[in-house]
Amino acid sequence: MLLSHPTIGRLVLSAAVTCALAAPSYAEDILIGVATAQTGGLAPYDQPSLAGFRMAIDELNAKGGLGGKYTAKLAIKDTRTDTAATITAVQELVDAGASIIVTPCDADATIAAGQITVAKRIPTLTFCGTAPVLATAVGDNLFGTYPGDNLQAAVIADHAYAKGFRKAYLLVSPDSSYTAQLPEYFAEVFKKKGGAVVGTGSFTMGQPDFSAIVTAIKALPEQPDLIMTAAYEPDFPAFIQQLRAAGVTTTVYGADAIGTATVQGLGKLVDGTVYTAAGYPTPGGALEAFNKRFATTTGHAAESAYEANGYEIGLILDAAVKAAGSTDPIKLRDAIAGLDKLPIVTGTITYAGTNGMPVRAVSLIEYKDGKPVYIATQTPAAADVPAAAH
Amino acid sequence: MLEVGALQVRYGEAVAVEHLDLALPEGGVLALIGANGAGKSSTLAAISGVVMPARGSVRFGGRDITRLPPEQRSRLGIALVPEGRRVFAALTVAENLTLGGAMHLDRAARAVRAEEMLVLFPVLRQFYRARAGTLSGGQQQMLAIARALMARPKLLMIDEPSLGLAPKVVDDVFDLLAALKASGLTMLLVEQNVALALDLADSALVLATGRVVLAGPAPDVAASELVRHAYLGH
Amino acid sequence: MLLQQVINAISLGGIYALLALGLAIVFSITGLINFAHGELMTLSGYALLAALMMGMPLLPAAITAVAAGALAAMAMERVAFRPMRGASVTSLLLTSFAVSNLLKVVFQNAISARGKPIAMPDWMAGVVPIGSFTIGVGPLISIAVSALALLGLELFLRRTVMGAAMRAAAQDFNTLRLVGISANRVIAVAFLLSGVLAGIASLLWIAQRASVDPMMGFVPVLKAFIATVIGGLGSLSGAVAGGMLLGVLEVALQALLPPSLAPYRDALVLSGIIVVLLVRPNGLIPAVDTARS
Repeated sequence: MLLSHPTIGRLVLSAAVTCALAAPSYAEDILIGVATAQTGGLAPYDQPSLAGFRMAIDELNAKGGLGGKYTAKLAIKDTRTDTAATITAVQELVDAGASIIVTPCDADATIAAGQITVAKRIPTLTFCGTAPVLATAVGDNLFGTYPGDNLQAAVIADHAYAKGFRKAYLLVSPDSSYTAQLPEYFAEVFKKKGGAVVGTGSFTMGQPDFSAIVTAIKALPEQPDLIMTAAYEPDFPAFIQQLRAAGVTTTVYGADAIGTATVQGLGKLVDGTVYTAAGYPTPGGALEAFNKRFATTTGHAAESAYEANGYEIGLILDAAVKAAGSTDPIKLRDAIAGLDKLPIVTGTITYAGTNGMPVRAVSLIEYKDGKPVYIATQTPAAADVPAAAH
Repeated sequence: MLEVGALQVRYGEAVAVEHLDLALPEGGVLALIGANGAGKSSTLAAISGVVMPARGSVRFGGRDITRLPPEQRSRLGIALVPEGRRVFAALTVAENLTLGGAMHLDRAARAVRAEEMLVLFPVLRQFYRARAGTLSGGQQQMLAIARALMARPKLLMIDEPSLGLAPKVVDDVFDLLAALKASGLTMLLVEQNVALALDLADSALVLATGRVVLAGPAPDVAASELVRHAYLGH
Repeated sequence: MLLQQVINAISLGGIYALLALGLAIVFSITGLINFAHGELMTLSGYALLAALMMGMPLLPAAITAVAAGALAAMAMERVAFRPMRGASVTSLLLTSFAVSNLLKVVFQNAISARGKPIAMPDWMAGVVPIGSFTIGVGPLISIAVSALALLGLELFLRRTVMGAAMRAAAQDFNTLRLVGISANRVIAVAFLLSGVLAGIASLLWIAQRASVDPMMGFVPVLKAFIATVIGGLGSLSGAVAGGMLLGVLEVALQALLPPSLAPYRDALVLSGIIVVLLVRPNGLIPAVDTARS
């Protein structure tokens, strides 16, 4: 086919424009897609995480961008704690050319997002999803950032056993890998140490009525020393309210998801409840300093360790871009996977040698008189951490 | 007392009543006659406010009520005993009567009026605490009329009172209507049994496909060729 | 243990009954299944929270919460549903979904997308010893409040003229208007009652869950809907029966199922309901024949 001259001219022109757009420039951008739940059940986790993440990106951009070179642009979408909405949002962000995807604080939503990002191996980081399975379920481009369920459970079991508890009751929900498996990891470590599980109860997330479970606990032939659950809002408040209302005073242990203002606001109900976090703002420590800076920057106080964790994701991405020297998703993925003892707010984080769930310290915290009280920060020995379940 | 001018009633595209005029003086009894679908019930519906006329006017006691909702017309003194009686089946006879006068009379006056109704309809006293749904057809018709009368209406409209009733019961109902007429109550009657209706009424309108085809004093209408042929079987 | 589970079942069933009644009372008169009923609960919950935060004692705060639910229900009718009067059941249903979602978004944006804790006073967390075992005060209060609310509603419907009008409206709204009773008033009272029921149910619900969040109305309205369908859509006594049955089924399965089968609990509850509907397609206590405009 013969082309007339004006058409050829137009083709040349458009090719030139395309080249100009694609050519590297000194002020290059990197698009980060953030598809997280700013409303719904995961909002208590994704809201603070996003606040911390934004703060990190703002600070990094002020210093010249990620790796000192690429200005980070955030495309933020609310997934409303809905898996279908998460998939749609992630697809749109990938289509828009995101080099990195940040997903909700939930393994199931993150795995769903990973189904889309795996094709281009776009690094996909969950805010605080903790089920170890998320790192291996789809592909090697998915990364946890918060201490994994098995890591947290090992620390909690260790603490419970050291406190003299020998008999545990597990409260699980099959509705999410977090609520289903974390207590099981706990049981695995607890039994290995010499403890026993005297009963297991199962609930549906969002169920208002725990009276039948509470009655079953009261009627156990062998009363437990503690109840271990990974329930969170609104289930955790409902459970402990009804447990205490029935006159059961057994200590209840949870995990990181009950480190929220709502649970803290339950006051006396949660007295003696132990939970975990990625860190604790000890006086004079780095996390306390971060929280102060966070409060000055955003105008409201950090209420959990999720703000810091969100901020740390910014640091992880900065380090990865620096190492990769590029915004190419695959190079970024490789760079994240190679991070070793990267200094972050709460200590260090290591991906090198892991399958995507980071090695980092876990803090234990106890609610006393409506306030979180620090117990200890530990990094469990690798041999004590149960293998990831599938 | 009641004046209807150039009334048109339509349901979407279908015209049920076309250019109907009627006037009913105080104390008078008017019968509406016609085949099924002639527009009799639609006329009552437009006067009671259950449907809004597409055109024309309805005046009651000198006041234009064309656009008033049914509950306000009831309070002005218009009562309708609907076709099929429509008693509140799940409620007791007593409750049906109470609701009939709920918006018109205070508690004490209601009790007095209910007692009057029980005198007028002795059968209702027997079933006073029974659910209306358990009554026979004739008893339900009595209750429906009594419920309408509770409000001490100025105009009583009755739609097909004899429908589905045994002949003996029909006679009872018409005896009662005659007594109401004698007491001076203004009535508008729609009735399939044309002979009975014309016997009771002072004047009559004959409707066919939504239009008035004949109007006049009841004896004249009864004597007309049209009515004798079509409705009285002569 | 058995007695305790029976009390649990009655307590939960009572809450479901109140919720189902709130739906049924509006449906029986207007043909509307108000899915925004759950948001009335949420709103009552926030009113309770606000009242407690302003330092009100529990009882006045609870009354404030119920009043807020009642007022909100009437406002909802006036603003959203009155303009839709006479529309098809489907349009009404869609309107109620829209109202429900709109309110959720308003709660999320105006208050917070996240839960707010409401700790119940200590005495509600007490126990009553009965012989060798103990029974929680919470479920007993819940049963007492549900029973009082049901009794109050029954008295209202049986002993007052407005109550008789409401029952008549459920059967034949047009004829009721013919005897002079205002449609707007009857519908407004129906919404008022549903708001009061939502408010009371909200208090009992919150006493169990100890927090309020924008989504808290979703599960209860779903349960209430199921309960009204089991009971017979539009039938008030059916709604109570359906709510009770649902509560009993849920507690019984929670108590009896071994942990390995526990994930199937909701599926089993719904299967049980399908069986009920197969045997009695119009529900446990079907509504009387209605002539609705």
